[in-house]
Amino acid sequence: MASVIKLREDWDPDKHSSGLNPNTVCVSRIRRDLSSLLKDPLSGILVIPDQDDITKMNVLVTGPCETPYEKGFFHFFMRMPYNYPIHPPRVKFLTTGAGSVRFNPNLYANGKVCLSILGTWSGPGWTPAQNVTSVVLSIQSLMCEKPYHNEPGYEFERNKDDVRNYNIVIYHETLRVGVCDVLEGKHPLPPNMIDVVSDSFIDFYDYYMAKIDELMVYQGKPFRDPHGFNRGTFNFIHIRERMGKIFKSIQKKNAKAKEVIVIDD
Amino acid sequence: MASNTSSEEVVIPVEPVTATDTTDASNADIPDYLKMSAMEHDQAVEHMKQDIEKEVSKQHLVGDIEPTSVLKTVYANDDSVYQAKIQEIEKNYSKIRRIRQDGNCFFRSFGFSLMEQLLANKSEIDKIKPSLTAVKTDLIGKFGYPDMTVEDFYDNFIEVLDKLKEEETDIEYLLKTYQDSGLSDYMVCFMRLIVSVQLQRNAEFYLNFISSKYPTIKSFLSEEVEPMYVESDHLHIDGLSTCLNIRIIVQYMDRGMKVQEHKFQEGSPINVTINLLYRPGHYDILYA
Repeated sequence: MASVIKLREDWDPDKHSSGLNPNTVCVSRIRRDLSSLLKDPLSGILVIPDQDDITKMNVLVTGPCETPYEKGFFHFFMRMPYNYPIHPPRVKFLTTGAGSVRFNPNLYANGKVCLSILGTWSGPGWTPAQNVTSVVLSIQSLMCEKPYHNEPGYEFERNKDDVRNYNIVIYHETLRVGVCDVLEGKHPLPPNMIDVVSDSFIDFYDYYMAKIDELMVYQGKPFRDPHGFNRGTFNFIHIRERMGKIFKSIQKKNAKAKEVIVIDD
Repeated sequence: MASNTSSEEVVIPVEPVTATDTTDASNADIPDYLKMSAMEHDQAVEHMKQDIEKEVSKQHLVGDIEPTSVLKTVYANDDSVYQAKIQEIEKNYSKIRRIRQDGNCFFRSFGFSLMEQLLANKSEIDKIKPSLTAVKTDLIGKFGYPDMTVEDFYDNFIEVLDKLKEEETDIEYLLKTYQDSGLSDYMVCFMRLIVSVQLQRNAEFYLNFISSKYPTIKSFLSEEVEPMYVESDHLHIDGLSTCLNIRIIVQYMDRGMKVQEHKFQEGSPINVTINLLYRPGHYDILYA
């Protein structure tokens, strides 16, 4: 029977919660979802449930290779409703530079994640056969090679080089907000995620430097992305300086940690 | 499958509300809803929908057995078409069990009625299990569904079936299970997956009956079968009945000339018959 698709308004896990206790199958199902993630971990995705409330979880998605999100750290908060899996989880995107950056046509600056399985986008909706794994994989798939096309009506470039220009903006914001802000603690992360991010940063450092060198030709140019969401001035020099400092402070911290181990011996 | 007409007859086209007549001198005669702006109209519809949802959530997921005559109070006294049809149904089915009108009613009716009969006829339980296991195997192995979620639904369904075998299990247990929204909805999920498997196994055949707005069986399933709260029609009934080889008899009570009967898997050797009453947009369980 045809029905008018209505996108949900109550997507925000911080603002909307029934306050009801999870029902009989909800908690056992969340446990199963999580244990299957432990058994088959997903590349580039970390899901950490809240210690006190299993219906809440923090998700870290590392930007996939060959995309403008590459090696950025993207933090999501996810909350399961009391009647999960009959209803889908609510998800909020948190790495938005305090609500100033729209990283993707489907990832709003206010944290809304537009995905049909979450009920926030048109298309095939949630079914209870889906799980935490399918949700986080769908989120990761938004971070694609050419996010320009994610906006309806932009299946083809409206202006020459739109795709490339949009990607350069996303590269810049990924390095500035998705790496520097996160590592500098401007974007608060749960403690167990900070260690993961610090270790990865050291591993990814050479990539960051090479990418900055490649994009340095745009230094000082003002930008406005083709969708009109993000505007500013490219400042790769500043990003490089910030990364240098972050690198040193992590090394210093690691050295101290080693000292402690030596003393313990 | 050949007579798919009666379920389509019930679709009442809703004419879009237009306000083109408002310049007419006889403005006073125009009903309020025509004077609304598009936004006001949307809001009114939204409020109405919320009221209906609230009302529906008060209904039992699975109700108690009542005399079929209770339906007479649902329709106006002077609604001669329906009042006559209720009398006609009463002749063969004196009792009814009403199910919540939440779009899952066909599945909930089927599941409850099946298990209620198995409770009284325990020897039939093991005859159904092989087809349930095959559903699980095909979902995971053939159609690539995540094993973890499928097994969860399957295990839950089998657990309830096994419980029915025990001597001390009574109808109260079944009612409690089906009135617990968590467990009850879980059962509905699995039955929706059963229909999904059946349609995927015979995609070519079933595609003949699917609206052309769905280019593939997969797209139909992901919008009309697998999501919760989406209403069922002939295709869903045929899928579930065929896959499990369970006899279903539906009495269609709509605005047509008289009550129509549709039988599915009539020749099934399994000693179970699911009797359902269909009223536009809704299914309940009937008892002789």
